[in-house]
Amino acid sequence: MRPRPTIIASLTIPIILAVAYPFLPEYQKALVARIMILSIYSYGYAVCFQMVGIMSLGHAALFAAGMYGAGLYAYYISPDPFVALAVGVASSVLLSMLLGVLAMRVGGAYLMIGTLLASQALYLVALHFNEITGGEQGLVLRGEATITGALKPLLSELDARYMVSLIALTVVVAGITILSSSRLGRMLLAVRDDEEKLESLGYNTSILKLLAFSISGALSGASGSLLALLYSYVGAGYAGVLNSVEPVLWVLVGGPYVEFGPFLGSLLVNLLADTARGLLRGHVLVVGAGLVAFALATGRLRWAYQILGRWRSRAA
Amino acid sequence: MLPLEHLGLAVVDGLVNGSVMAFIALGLAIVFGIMNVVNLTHGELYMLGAMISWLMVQAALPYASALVAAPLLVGGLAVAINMFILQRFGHEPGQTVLATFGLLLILQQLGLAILGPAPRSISPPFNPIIEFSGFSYSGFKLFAGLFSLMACLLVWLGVERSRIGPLLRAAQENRLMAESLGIDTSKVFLIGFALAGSLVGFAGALTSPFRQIHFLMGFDALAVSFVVVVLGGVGRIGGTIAAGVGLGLLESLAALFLAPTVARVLTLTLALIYVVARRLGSIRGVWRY
Amino acid sequence: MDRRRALSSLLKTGIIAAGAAGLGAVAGYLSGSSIGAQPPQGREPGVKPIKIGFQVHRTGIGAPYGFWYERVANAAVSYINKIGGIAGRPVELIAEDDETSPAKGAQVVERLVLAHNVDFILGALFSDVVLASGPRAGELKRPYFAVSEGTHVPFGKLNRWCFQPGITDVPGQVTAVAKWIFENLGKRVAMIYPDYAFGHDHRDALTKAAERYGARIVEKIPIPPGETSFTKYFTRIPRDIDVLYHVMVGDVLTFIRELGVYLGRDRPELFGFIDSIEAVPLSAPGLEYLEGTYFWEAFPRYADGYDTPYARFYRESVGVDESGADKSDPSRVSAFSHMFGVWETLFVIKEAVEQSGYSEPTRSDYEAFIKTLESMDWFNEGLWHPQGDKRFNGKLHQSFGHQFISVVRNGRLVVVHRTEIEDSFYEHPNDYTKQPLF
Repeated sequence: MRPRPTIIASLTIPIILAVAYPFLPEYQKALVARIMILSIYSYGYAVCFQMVGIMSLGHAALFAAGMYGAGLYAYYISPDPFVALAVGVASSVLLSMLLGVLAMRVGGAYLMIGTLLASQALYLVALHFNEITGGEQGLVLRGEATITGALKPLLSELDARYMVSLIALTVVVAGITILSSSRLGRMLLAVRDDEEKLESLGYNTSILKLLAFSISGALSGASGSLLALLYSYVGAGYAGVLNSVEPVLWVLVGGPYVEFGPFLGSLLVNLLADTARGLLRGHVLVVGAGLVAFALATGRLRWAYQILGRWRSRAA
Repeated sequence: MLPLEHLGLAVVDGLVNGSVMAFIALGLAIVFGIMNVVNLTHGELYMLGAMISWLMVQAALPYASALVAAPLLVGGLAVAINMFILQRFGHEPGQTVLATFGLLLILQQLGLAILGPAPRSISPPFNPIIEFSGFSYSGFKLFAGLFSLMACLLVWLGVERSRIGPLLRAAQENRLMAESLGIDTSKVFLIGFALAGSLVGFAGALTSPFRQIHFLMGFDALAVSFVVVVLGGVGRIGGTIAAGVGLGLLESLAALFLAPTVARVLTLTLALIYVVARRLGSIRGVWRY
Repeated sequence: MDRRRALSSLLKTGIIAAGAAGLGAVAGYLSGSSIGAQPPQGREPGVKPIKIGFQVHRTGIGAPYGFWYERVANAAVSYINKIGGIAGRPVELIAEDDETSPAKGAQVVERLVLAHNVDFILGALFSDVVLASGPRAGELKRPYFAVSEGTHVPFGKLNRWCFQPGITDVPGQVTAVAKWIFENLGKRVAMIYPDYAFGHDHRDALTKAAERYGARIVEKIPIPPGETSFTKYFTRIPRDIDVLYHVMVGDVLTFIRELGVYLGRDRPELFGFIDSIEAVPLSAPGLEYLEGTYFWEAFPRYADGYDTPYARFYRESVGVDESGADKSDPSRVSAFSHMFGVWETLFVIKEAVEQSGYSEPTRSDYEAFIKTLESMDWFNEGLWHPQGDKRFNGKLHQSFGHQFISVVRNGRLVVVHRTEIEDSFYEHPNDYTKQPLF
């Protein structure tokens, strides 16, 4: 077993981001803030994928549940962004518990497709009820309903976004570090590595999986809620399949350490895309080539093999 | 009261769409289902098949020539992807996901560069309107549906009855043992990719006269193929065929009675329940706890 | 053994050749691009250019529109620079791909303002991109010009920094053509439309118009997105309707083909929005069935549909031939009913900059710019507004203009009616001028 990084070590990323802030050019501040928010989604995915070895293709539904929970609350009920954040996280936890029941029952490819089907169904529902959700066009939250609006007297939008994202990321990284070095974390890893053995020892692995799925949902939903409340937009685009695939890529690029990987992966992929966008027309090509090159250049993603290599044996 | 001819149309259309869906998924049933390689480029290979068909017809070549060229070229591309990229890291799943997603983006942009951003179409080589009692149906689409179904059954028999099926399975399930038995696994992967690539390339060319050809058409095809392969039971080609046809029929019939989006959501939900139920052995198992 | 080696080397050669051909195509596609910002021509030393950021759908679902939006923007900017720029300053266009995605769109707005410090932003077509981008523009205090037809600008969903002066919106368009549909094609209508907000805008506007003119929408058939086969939904079309109204239901070439087989010769009148077949030639296999059916157009694709010296000049400038296709590649049909909005919007910016005396991205200059723009109420037809004159509503930040109705005859679109500007008016309580600017 790999030694787990201590909390001090894993907090280097937030510390670097905090120290770097005054020196970053304005646009890079905005970009890094956005990446920090997205990386929370990436951490959420990693809890499922890396810690317990559950591969889902429906996490966009959890992300969107947070986004809609927070967004619709702030839009229709009360323009209080902090309550809205709680509502957002709660709604994605609720949904993740429903989907988690699925994860308890089935594994491997069946779970991948099960979550994909569920998230597609929810995506269509969000489009269909566009009188409420705004459908594919989405809804724009008024200033006072957003976190940036609430912090306006203190901070500019740019600063507010960076600070809030940084605080959120710090909390998440610390939480993940504590979780992965805790007894619970080790049990989750055991589910990933040898579920039968753990079961034979009398542990209820279903509950562990459900728990992991819910934590994953909470983080994904927090990312979605924060995105809505910091950028004042809610839309069905975030519930589509592509948004379920992206965290898979980020986590795979990020590497085996669940404490750093999800952030590094989202940073790398998004920076590549953003740099290429400014340079040439076919920037999507550059991202594609980058992924292929990464796959070829990197050593065996042995850690991923432990998770992905067995999706058939679990499913059959 | 539901008119009978509507039911007839729904059944015919559902069977045709379902057979086509199964045919598109067939290649993935081999590469992912049997050989356990998550090939995310599957949908883009389908798009390329359709694109080649369009290019040939643009070059004033007969449509039939596309049915030869598309499987050859797309099969060749699939082999190349396997040989120059996926084989390099021994089909390691993590790298495969990354590399094939990267290739998906690249092939999609290739489609955009060649097809242009707008949708394209070609004329069917023949298209008599077939009159059933009370409704009419496109002759070419009916032909494509029947052809897809035949091709599916043929491949099923071919893979299951010949040495190919067990070879493909062996290479995936235990590479070391297969190699110690003198099986050249890289050759087996080559056969698998060549077969899968040419099948999906063929499907692209076959459907191009009745579906629009667009650089983004691959992504939906990929998602649908994955669903069909898994619904049918991973690794079972017969299951893939049954799942494709069944799903097509279900979608079509549901649309008769329900508002379109509700029908779609219901189909997805039923498929979801079925996935869970399959895994657990029975529908009752879903509610076990 | 030898044979095998020969075979494998043959295979390799083939693969390399195919790969090289593919790379060649991609290289050609890449080389057609501008690397980063386009330098303005004839820049005089010491004169600072006006920078216009441009959020463009180069990839993703909006790409057919994006291609033409970019072409028109480049043409308009080069014409503006030829006639002396804006307020004597050359214009520099900085275009970036938003992938037709709301997330990327908002990011592009941030890039354009924070990294390039553009003076104005020329925005996107797809409503989700506009809705996600508008708040960013409002926060960064940069005027954002949508060319989208969406209801987001006029209905007050955005903010005082967002405008849509170059193109009319869906409710305006539907309101204007509905009267003609009910009077000329019939009053029993069935609608088939995409089951998301864009389709619902059409449904709501047509339903409202039907109430006003005593017509009936007897059946509404919303199609879920991503559909590739439509026959199963056609059984819902009642046989006794006068008109089938269709708009943007996904794979249009499949849709029309299957509709033709299902309805056959004995069909109701068909009325569609050109959006479905924008950038698609009418000669595309499968569209034969459209012969004799009607379409809304914003600006007639075929030159004789609205033949004015201004329209001719515009067509020439953007490199589009008599039948609305690319001069250098007649199979590439333009998005003619939308892309003029890019041209006209750039001239609205020019007019407003010159009238307001805008020179720097400062508070006072933007205040003058926006107040000047809000006080405009009319754009005269001319080289700058070739689609026709427009009434601009400064409270809604939205233009209202003429619409065209065309019929497909002998495989081309023939204009049968041009609506008056007043036909498209509707009431809305929104008033952006009451919002604070800073």
